[in-house]
Amino acid sequence: MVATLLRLKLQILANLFRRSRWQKAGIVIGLVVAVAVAALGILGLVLLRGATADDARTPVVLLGALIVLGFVLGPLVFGAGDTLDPRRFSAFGMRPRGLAAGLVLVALVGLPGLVLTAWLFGAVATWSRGPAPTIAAVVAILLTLALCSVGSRVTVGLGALTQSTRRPRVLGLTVGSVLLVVVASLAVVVLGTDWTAGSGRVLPSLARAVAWTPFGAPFALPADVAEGQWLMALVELLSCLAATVLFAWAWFFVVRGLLSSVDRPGRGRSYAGSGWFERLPAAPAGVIAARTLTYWGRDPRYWTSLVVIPVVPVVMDAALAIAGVPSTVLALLPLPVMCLLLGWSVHNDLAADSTAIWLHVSSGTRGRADRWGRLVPVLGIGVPLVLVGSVLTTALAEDWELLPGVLGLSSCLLLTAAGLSSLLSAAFPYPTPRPGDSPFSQPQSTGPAATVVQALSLLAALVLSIPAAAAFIAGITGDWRWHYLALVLGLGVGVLVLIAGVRTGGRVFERRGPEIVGFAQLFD
Amino acid sequence: MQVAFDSFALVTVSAASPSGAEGPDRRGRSAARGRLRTRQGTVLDRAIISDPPIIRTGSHASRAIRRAAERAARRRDGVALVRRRDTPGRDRVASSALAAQAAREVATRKVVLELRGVSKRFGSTVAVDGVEMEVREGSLFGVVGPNGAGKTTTLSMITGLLRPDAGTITVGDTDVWRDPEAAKRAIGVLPDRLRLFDRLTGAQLLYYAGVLRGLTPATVRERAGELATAFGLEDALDRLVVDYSAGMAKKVALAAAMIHAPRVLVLDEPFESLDPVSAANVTEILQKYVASGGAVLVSSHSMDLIQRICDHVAIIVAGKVIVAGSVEKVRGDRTLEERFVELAGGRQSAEGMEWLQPSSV
Repeated sequence: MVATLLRLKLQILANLFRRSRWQKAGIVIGLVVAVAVAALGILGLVLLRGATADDARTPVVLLGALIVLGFVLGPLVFGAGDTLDPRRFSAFGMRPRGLAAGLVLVALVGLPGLVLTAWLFGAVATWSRGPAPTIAAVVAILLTLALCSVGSRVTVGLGALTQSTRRPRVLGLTVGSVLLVVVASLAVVVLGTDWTAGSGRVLPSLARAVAWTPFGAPFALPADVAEGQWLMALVELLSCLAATVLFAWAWFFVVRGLLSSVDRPGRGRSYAGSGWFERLPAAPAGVIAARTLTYWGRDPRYWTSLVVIPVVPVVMDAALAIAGVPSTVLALLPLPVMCLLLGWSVHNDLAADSTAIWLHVSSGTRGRADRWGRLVPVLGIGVPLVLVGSVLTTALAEDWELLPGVLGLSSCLLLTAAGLSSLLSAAFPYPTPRPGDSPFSQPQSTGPAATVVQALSLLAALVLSIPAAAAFIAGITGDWRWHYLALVLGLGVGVLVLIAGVRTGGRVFERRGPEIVGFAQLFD
Repeated sequence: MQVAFDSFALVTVSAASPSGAEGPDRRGRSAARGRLRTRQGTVLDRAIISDPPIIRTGSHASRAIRRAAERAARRRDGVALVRRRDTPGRDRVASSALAAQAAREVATRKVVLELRGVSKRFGSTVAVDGVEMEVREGSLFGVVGPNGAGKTTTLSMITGLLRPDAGTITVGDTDVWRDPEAAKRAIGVLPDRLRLFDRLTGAQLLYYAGVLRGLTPATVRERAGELATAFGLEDALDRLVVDYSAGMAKKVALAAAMIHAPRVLVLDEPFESLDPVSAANVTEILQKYVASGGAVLVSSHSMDLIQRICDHVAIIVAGKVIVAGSVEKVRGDRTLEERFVELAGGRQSAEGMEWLQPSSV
């Protein structure tokens, strides 16, 4: 059984290279980056060998806990474990126990598992300061691998279970996205700290606390052994073991549940009236806008990305507040960030339609109507957000002279991001979760396109907003009249980019219609 | 002249169109005549089907007569042998004969959809290889072929969803790939295996499709209501399409394809996953549309259905049209299915599978 599953997994990995040249190039780039990151991580761990056990403990425990947490929650958030869903084996009449065990063992095969294993063995170098810590480190590594593998399976399985109903649990998804943001921002804080400078007092105590959790415990274990704190080491060992057993037990039940449950077809509820279609004009752009708004409410793929928008600036501000940035400066941040993310959120809107886009193509819908229709909801939220948000921002910053500058900069970010999204979503769609899939599931191959388009659209919006931002900063540091220039520049550049983006995006849409349908079919 | 007997009538159609000008074959006619004489004591030499060509006949026409009539029909001489109105169902001979006549009538009409040398390759595989097709006004044109023959690829190129590598596709007087906007207005599309905007309700989806096609809200609502009634979707209009069964989703997609009353309907597997009642409804709707001058291109795996409802058919194998023409001409003296299996080849005999029997393992 295990051998069969292993062969299957290796075959799936090998098939990654049976794709187009660009996708292969993307995989190779990904491999290189992963190896580089792993090498850096291992180098860091090896260097920590020279530090005292107490100094080495803090970074290893915190980073290790983050990595384990990321490995366990990652599949839920990024949905990477799609390929070996237990449900796919349901027709072969396998025993749940054997299948559960086999899938756990196979879970570590693959790039993330490989990088994790390599990095963990780097930790052996850190603790190779005597036989006892070395043995403890090896034991800890094996425990960590077991925990990661079983833990990630549980989250994958839970994801599959929640995905089985058509309307996924709002709570689970929101918790997932919030957790992702928290983990990411914590990682930024941990990585950004200057470890050589004694690292203050907050982080070591944080590390002590994290050591009690099963995620931090295996990393604290060799440190405590090295320091001769045997009782603490025993507690950590037990904590880690207990978590692994608990996860394994949960995983078994998840597999059994997945193998014996069936999607409920359900009759579905009735929606009287036409909703948004009644309220928006009966023109192509109008119905497309109505459809987009309807989808925002009914399709979790849209509202999960919208839910994250207000969360990101909050987390950012929290992190910066810890770093000691004054509150008047913090007040200026959320609005521009939200505007940028809102405009950016539709940069792959077309791919989300999947093959249903054929209706637009075969009905000869004008590109401009398609583009405007998709932007109307974004602008419908964005424009009030800019107006109300600017007033709030200036109130919180306690400086009314900022108002035109804040207006200019935030509308510039919103409009340029929206305009660029309009062009990029028609020109460079990249694979996205299919309709009905979990918003956190990922298509089988994304290749480099996703990252490139995401980064490009964000960066370009930022670059185009530089004039407005420069004028805004000049207004803060110098003459207040610069703020009015920021307003003029922001609105001018924003509107220009928006119109240009919609026009070129529309032309691209009309010209590439069949190719867009073909792209959607490829990934459906 | 129309000849009707109290119990049945056998009517041969004289050649009104050039294709039938050679007249009836001697053997076919004599066979028919002989049978008639034994049955009724009347000789029927030749008659012309009246317009409209509906002839009431008896339900007890013997198999011999039917076969004779069928043979006559194959000699391109339309023979109608129709059941009496009070007996439900239609006689196969009758429909085939009427179809033969319809096919000849169609042959004189205007071409609304024309494919010339259309080709498409994906990498090293040639999916469609120089396909030629003509669909005329008032014609129900069937495209059949084995799995993977290129039916969907061909239909996608007609509807503007897939760019051909070579060849021209004309709808009316418009080149689909030169002036897609105008051509697309004239086409109604039902693609196979593409998604719908299924988070909309049925009513919203029809409204969406109608407005995208440039209809006014009042027109869309009126037509959507009538289409829903015709397809039996009234109760489902307020539910999300994602919650529909496969058959219902197909019907709502069909309704969306027709809502702008196009000149040509291009329907990929319209009968797949439809129950027999729905299939009969759809057939009736299509026949009405065709009778009013519309043209329909359907692909299907159901040979029986294509033989029954279509007047013209093209068989596509490995990306090539290997035979096309009126259904009667294509199928010859066999059923379309037999002819298809013969032409398409690849029929495997189930030898060497002795193990395939219920076992205790």
